[in-house]
Amino acid sequence: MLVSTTSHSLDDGPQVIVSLSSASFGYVDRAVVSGVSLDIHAGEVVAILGPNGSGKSTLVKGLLGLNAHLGGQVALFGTPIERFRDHARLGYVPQRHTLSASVRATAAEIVAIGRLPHQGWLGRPKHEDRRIIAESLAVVGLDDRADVDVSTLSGGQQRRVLIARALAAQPDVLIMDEPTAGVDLASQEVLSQVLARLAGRGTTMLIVTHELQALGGVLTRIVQLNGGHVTYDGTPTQYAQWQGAPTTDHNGHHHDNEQGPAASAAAGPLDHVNHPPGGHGA
Amino acid sequence: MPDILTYNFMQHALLAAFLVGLAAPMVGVFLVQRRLSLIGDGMGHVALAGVAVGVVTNQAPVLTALIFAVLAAVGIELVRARGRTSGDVALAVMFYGGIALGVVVIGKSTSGTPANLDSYLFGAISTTTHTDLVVFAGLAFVVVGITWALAPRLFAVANDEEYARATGMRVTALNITLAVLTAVTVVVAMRVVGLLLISALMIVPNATAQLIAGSFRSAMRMAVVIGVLCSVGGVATSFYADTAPGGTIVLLAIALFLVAASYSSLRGRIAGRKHEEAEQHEHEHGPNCGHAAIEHEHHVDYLHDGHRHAPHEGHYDEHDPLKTHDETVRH
Repeated sequence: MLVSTTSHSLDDGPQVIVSLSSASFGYVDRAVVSGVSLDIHAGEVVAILGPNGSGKSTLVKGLLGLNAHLGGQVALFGTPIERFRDHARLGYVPQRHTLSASVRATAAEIVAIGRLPHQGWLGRPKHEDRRIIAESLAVVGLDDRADVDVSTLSGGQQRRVLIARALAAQPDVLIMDEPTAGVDLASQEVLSQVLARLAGRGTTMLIVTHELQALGGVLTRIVQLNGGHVTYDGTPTQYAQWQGAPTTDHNGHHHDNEQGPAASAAAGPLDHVNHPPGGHGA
Repeated sequence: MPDILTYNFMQHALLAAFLVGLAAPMVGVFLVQRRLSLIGDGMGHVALAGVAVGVVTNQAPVLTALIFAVLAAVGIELVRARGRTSGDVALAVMFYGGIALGVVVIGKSTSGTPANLDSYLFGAISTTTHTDLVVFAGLAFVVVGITWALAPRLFAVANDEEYARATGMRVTALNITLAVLTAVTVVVAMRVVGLLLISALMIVPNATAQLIAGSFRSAMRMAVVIGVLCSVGGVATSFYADTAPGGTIVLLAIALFLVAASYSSLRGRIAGRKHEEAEQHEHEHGPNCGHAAIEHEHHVDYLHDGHRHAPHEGHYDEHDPLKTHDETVRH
């Protein structure tokens, strides 16, 4: 199996993969997201929603160490982010419209990059690495294109190559930045199938997106950001109700909800933390 | 023994050419990948200032050139890592400053005139001394060895710097290493092809290989073969044709590039004429798409409403209508 599934540690419920407490991220001189408190458990499939500039990408890039961590507590797999070195446990799928076409590179060669953290100093793939590379390409449905130059693939296929690269690292959580943005409808359908397949295998996912529809029934939780703050945190069903509520209502609850996620640590093991509008704690 | 090998200086020259032909394209492929094809040129400019300082102070010019080029390499990466938009301009200032300093300093030399620089600017392979050769060989082996060992990581960083950083790779250190490898290659090659042409030997064999090869690995190998063929072939040609070796090497590399470019455009045109695109296609074929997969030569066709669709770049091609002979249908 490529991505480890929910690992239960005795009675503690699913492992806490990401834990944020009043965290802020951004650039050295400017915070883009602040006051974010969230716990993400193994097995959850979380969409991070929000308009452009709301800080979605900054948040996930902060977890990956690509943006500066400016305040609050951030722990990955229980280790404070400052001391976290096991980067291969976070499988990053960047937002990329095209893969670099400056030189030829096959899909398998790109996916092989994901194996590097697990390889020796020379980084030459062994039999086991090749097997995992092939399996990763199979999960995204591109095993028939392994030896094809990636620049000849469609946008959606390239996106899947990047997912396969992340899978090849055998991470404990997939962090995806806009996986469905800017790809044609046919590819989007295949992408949704790939995400559903991963979810079916129990893969924990953190998906930055603004296209809920493309993610269909895969999600277990939605976190919405606006202006660098969490404005909603709950299940997709409640989110739909919340969206349907009168505008005045949903505006009125912004501030209330900022407190909501902080209480998430109190949630039961398999409950996804739900914070319907106005409701504090689960 | 062919008469070219009876001369001691030609043996040296051919060996030096072999080493440069091996190292330059190997480092060069990562420069092409990072879209820094001209960076070797810039380092050559700075190395020239080093040569001039060496000549004037009676130090070995190769050593001073090496120091200048390596410092320039580290400087370039630090400027780039800061990601300032003015980085491009800073590089230009560094490069032209290098060549200007070289010309001014050499003018102050008591032992010579700016003409002294010619052997570095355009190469002077036949005057390579035994000591030079030993130094070049040592440096070339270090460059080839380190580049080979780091190749998968250099590829990863050049392919997607952000992803490499997210997986904990030491991106800045790897980029500085590549820059230093480039600087050393420039210095090793300056006596062979000259500082003004060194970039050509790093880039042109790679440009040729990119036209023909199907993967990064095979392109890199092919570029090294082309580089060795051109540099050794160029030196041999220059011996018989009595031409300047540096220029001959580069012209040979460019000739090969033109042949490869015509071949690949011809191949593209023939393939274009042969192939027929399937109608507008909303569905994506794949191993689990529900359509029968048929092995066809070296690819897979998918049976779609009686048509055979073969994935090609971003679309599907229509392949032969159903044949029944010796083909296996997989489900």
